[in-house]
Amino acid sequence: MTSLPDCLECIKTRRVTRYFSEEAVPREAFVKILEAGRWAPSGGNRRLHRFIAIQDREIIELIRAVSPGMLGYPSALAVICIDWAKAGSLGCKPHHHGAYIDVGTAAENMLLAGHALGLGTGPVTSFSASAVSTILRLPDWLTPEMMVCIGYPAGTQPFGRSLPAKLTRLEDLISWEQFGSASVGGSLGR
Amino acid sequence: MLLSEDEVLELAAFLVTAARCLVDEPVDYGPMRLLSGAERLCTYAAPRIEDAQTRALFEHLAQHIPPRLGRRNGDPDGYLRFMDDSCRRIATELLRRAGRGR
Repeated sequence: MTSLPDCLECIKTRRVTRYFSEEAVPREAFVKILEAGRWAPSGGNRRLHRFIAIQDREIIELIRAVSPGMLGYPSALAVICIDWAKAGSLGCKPHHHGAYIDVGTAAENMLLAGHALGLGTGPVTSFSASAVSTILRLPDWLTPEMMVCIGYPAGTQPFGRSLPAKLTRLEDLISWEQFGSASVGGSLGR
Repeated sequence: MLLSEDEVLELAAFLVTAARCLVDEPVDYGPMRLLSGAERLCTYAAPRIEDAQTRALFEHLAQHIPPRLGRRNGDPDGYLRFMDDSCRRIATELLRRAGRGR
C-alpha cells in the first residue's frame, strides 16, 4: 500500500504526457486506473459518472480525429461522462455544477494512478462532444466531459513541457483566514 | 496525390471540430490549433512533395511547430518570433515558386 509520503511525491512528480509509444497498456493496469476514478470523491456520494474504457486502436484514432486537444496516440483512453438521467433521478438540475467538479476529481485520481503505475497520462477537454458521442454511440443522457489518455510515454515529447511565463508560488495561491491576507501560519498579522 | 483520402478526412475533422471547440476555449488556443493543423498537413504532405525546397519548408514546420507550442506560455516573444519567421519563410517560398524569388 502506498504510504502518505509516496502519495505526496506522486502528486508532485506527475506531469502531463502528450505523446505515447505504441506499447499496449496492460488491461489490469488500465482497470486499476479506472478503479482509482471510481474511488474519487463525489458530491453527495451521488456517483453521477460513467467511464467509457477504450483500448481498440481504431476507436482511439477515430476519437483523436475529432479531438483537437489530443496530440499523440494513447494506447488506452478513459472517457469520463456524466449520467444526466441518474442526476435527474436524484433531483439534480440540468448542468448541476457538482457533476462537473466530480469529473475533475475522477480525472485527477486516474492521472495520479497512472503515474503511480509508471504510465504517462494526460487529460483532454478539447474535443467535439457531439462527434465523440456519435463515435461512442452514447445515449443522449450521457455526455462526454473529459478524457484521460494513458500509455507509455514516447521517448521524446515533441510538445515539451508547457511552462508558464512565471511559476506560481504557494503564497500566490493562498490567503490565510480571510481573502487578501498575506500573512503565513494562520494569523492575520495582528 | 499529396494526401490520402483518409488524411484529408482527418484534417477536415480536425479543422471543423477545432472550430467548434474554440467557441468555448481561451483565445490563445486559436493560433495553437491553426499551427497544429499546419503541422499535421506538413507532416502528411512533406514525404510526397517533389520540390526539395518546398519539402524542406514543410519538414521545418512539421519539426518546429510542436516544441514551439509547448513553450508558448514560457516564451511568448519567442512564440511570436517563430510565427513571424514561419510567415517569412512561407512568403519567400511563395515568391520562389512564382518565379519571383531573388
